Amino acid sequence: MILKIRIDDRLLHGQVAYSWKSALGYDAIVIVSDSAAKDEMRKTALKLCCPDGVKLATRTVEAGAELLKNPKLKSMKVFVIAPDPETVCRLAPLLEEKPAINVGGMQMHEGKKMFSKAVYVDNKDVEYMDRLVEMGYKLEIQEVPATSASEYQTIRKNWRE
Amino acid sequence: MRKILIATHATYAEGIRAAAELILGKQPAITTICAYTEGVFLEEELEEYFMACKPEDEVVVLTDLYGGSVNQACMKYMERPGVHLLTGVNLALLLQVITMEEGEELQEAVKEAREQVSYVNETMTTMVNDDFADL
Repeated sequence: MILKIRIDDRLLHGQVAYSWKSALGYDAIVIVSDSAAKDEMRKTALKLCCPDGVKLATRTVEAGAELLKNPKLKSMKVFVIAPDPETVCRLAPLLEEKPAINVGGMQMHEGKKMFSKAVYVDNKDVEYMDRLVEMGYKLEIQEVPATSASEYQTIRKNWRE
Repeated sequence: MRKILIATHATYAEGIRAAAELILGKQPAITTICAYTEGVFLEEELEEYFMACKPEDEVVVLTDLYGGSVNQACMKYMERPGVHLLTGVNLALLLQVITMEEGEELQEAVKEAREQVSYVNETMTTMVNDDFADL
């Protein structure tokens, strides 16, 4: 069972490992990222951040969706992490579940604008997030469980491109 | 309630608290003592801290060095009920202690934090980076 899908361009790191572990109590993490899945060094670095007793896999979108539909994963509490809204848009139609989407961290890059304290977006990102809302997903902006969550649509309404 | 006291040589306590708060958000249950910095008198600060604790409080004390003077000074308070003294604090240990559930053993937190001290070049060579490779 997928507890949450988190969008975070740093994928797995201290914040995710510790704060969401104690808040959600997941026992597996599936990272869905086409580039990370093909990079053995990156996969090993991500494994270093994985909390004790938590299983981890890093997969491409297609392979990740397949894994998430496996009965073994369905019986576990799974936390899914993807680097950006575009990846989640490709993943979502392949899933049999509709978990909440947590927009956690998108760092500042050229051409991106501040959406919330830890989330910087461009028009493409917003388009993809809008599409997820249209698909019936609930999106919340929240960095760590200790900070308050805001509804995506509330911020979206006041956001100017 | 459970309180956390971090007492260290110089500003390590303040630094490690800032690092933990970056990850987990503000931690009002944490107090720090930066021993041997200007205006900080370790014995007095400890006395003041424990005087203000209620008898029912559980206090986890974290110090930096097993044989260090800060840890020695803290050992005086170990006999108080509900006081637990841990030394060799690293960020992993502090995060474990903060996120510990009621009734979880401190031994387990120490064990897990100890495993995080690692020679990465070596651990990497034996590490399995996909736990579902068989699926």
